[in-house]
Amino acid sequence: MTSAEPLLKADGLTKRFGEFTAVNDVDFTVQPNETKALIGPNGAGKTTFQNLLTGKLSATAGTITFDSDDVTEMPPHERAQRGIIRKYQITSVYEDETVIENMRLAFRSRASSPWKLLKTHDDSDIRDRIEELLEIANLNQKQDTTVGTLSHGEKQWLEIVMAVGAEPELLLLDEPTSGISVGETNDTVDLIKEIRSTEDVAIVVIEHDMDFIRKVSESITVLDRGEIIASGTIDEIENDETVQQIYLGEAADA
Amino acid sequence: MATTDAPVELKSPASIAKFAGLLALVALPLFVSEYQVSTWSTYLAFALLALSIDLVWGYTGLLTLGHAAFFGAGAYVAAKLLKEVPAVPDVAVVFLVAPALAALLTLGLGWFLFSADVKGSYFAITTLIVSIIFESVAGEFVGFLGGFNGIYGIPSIQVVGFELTATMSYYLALGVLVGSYLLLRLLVDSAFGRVLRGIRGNQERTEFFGYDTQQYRLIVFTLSGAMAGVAGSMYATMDGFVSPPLLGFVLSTQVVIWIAVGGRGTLIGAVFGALLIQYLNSTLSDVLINYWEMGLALLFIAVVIGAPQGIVGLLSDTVEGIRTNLESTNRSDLRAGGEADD
Repeated sequence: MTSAEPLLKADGLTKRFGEFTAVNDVDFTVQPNETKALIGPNGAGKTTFQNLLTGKLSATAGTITFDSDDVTEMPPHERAQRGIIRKYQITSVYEDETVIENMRLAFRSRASSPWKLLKTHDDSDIRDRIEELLEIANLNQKQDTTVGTLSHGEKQWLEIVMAVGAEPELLLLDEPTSGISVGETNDTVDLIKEIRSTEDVAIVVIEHDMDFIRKVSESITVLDRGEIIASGTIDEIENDETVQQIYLGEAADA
Repeated sequence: MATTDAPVELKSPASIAKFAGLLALVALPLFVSEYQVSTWSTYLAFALLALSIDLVWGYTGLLTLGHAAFFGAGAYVAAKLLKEVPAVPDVAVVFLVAPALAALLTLGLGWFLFSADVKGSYFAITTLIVSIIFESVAGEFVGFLGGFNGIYGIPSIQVVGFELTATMSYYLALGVLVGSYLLLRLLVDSAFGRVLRGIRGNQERTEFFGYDTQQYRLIVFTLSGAMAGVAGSMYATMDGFVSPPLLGFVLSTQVVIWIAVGGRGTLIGAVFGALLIQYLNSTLSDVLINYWEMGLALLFIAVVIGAPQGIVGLLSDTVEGIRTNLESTNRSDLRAGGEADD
């Protein structure tokens, strides 16, 4: 993979629900190991866009290229196999299982031939790596805790390190700070920075908290009403008049 | 370190209980009449059916109310072939043809249901309907399948011209049950089994980590169908009589209740629940007559409300609680005077 070749390339990506166009002719590229932020007010189409990338929804028009392959029609599990892994906005983990079992499930996903997994009864090969990731999420002491009893923030961090454990090339983080406290948000910032510095992975953070974005990413794309209205560095975006209008408008509503 | 030995030592109550149960089943023919041995053989066949359902429902979270259809299909094919086609060896009929047919049925149905991502109550209802269809079809084919009168006079299994006695059939059924249990134990304790629990707990999350959950569900459903087929064919040779209710939804739902009472998603709970309730049914229904059904219903409601994890789950939680207590006592003994970190 050459650096000139983008890891992900969405070309004219469009999704219509009947008359309503949720995502309209979006071009979006992610380079290997790059961290990008995707922002936009509620209803801008951020989640729909992600659903198109991961295969939860199929595109009405346009193409998605990943690692030089067309993945537009590929089912979700095959895209994940290729390295597109998402963390959901509403935490999606295995509530009835322990932290360590959650991690193991995520870690084994790349070797996903059922026959191979049938023969796997020993998890010592992945233990060190799991502990390393749980350590940066501050969850190492809670390996045997049932996930359902964790705090909201802890579940968010768990899902993030689980996603990292699935060996992604592209990690989609959908609102990693939604519903958590300021203190926990700072921990989330540290966690994402740590992942950026230690892991070989491109990250797209979907957020509407500008302060948070500023701390984790240099490059921003702004989505509004299904279209990309601005793209650039933090400074460029913050001084962009259209963006200011949208965001001031939203702040006034909130 | 003392604490490393402790779990193994304290884990044994469960293994001791399982071993004692197995010993009791092995010794059973020594203490009861031949007629009762035959009856217990059929209990074992139904326990195998329960085991197959627990894999699909207990571990994968797919409530099947139609497994009797595959059990009954195995029973009917064994009945027809054993009675009318002596050329095919009995062992091949019971252990190859019957499970192959049942597996084919579950493979076809599963492919249809899982590619349309039918799950939850829709899955339960669809499988229930399949069971009802099978039951009425068997009732309609009077000439070929005996209609509502079924097929009777099915011979016991013959091995190289030698017919198995009731006791031998019993041990065969016990062997198959124990073997199937161990096989499934190996399966659910593997990384494969973890994926099944992942599908049960959060199918979409599992899918988006890269697991082809459709494939996993199809494998499990087909394997479970084959097991139900063997259970059915063994039942036919042991009871000597098959009729449409063996395919029907009443049997399907009964077995689900046995599993719920015994403890869903534990394998041993399915076997325990199946044997316990069938035994209580035979002893108590004579004494209590109609009240037995009501008693069973009350037991089911009590378990669902009081111990949703079933009797086995309740027992293991109790043992686990005692163990944790003991461990923490041990630890505080060891650390007397030391720091109290964890």
